[in-house]
Amino acid sequence: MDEGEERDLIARAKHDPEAFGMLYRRYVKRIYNYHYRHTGNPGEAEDLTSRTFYRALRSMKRYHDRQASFQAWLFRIAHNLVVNWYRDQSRRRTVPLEVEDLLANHPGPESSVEEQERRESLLQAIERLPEERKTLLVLKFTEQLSNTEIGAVLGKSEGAIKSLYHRTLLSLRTMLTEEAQNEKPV
Amino acid sequence: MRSPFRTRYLTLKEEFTPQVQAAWESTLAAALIPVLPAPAFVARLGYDLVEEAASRLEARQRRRQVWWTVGWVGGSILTVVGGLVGLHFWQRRSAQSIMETQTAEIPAPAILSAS
Repeated sequence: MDEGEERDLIARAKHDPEAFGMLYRRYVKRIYNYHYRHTGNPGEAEDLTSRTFYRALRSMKRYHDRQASFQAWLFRIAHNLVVNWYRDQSRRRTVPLEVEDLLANHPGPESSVEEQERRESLLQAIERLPEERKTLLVLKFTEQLSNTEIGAVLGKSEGAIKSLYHRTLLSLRTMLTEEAQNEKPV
Repeated sequence: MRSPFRTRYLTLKEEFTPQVQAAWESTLAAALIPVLPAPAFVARLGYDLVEEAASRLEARQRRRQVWWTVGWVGGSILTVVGGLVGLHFWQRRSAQSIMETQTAEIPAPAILSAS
């Protein structure tokens, strides 16, 4: 679907339930994935996904494509819910991402034990990142959003996103290096 | 003199060469594989959302219809009331002008005319 078609669909979705249903089907997997990456729990991810779309339905009339792209607007709603979700947690829980599930679903021909271990430790390091940095990585790598769109989601400028991205890579590298040093036999 | 508390900014290029950054990016892209929701959840939520959107639309149309009716009835009442008020004032002014005409035409009493 090209940009013009999507714009038509968005305009129709303001007064046509079926068009809203089409938009939902277009974005539901991405929104679910975004929530799952933060919560690490399918139930919580489903709950947040539902709330994202119900909120989008309520605010649909107020959406104008001049502000941001539709996907940035939708991810902004999802992001606000995730921020509330983190706030609601009495303490920052460790949320285990189901790495085995991920790997079982997408084994890949190059998959090896070493590769899986590397991926697992990377996912665990991502999991320990602050919410904003995790959001940045998910939006950039899973959702393929541009820096401008990520900026619209996080309420930051494009320059700030670039800088945050570099800092995130640096902190990931530090975390993994420290982890590797700790694992070294004495 | 330079402040000892002056912030030291990192020069990112020194920390990450483009090759290293590219390697990190490909590793991250490989690790962050999309996780799919259960099809039953997708179907159920989709159905519920379309139902909700339809009922909202219906409610909005009903509200619009109510406002239209209220506006129409209110407008009609205002028109009738305005007409009646206008008629009332017109009648009062007409009666007043008739009375003024009649007073001007009454002849003077006879005693006054004899003197």
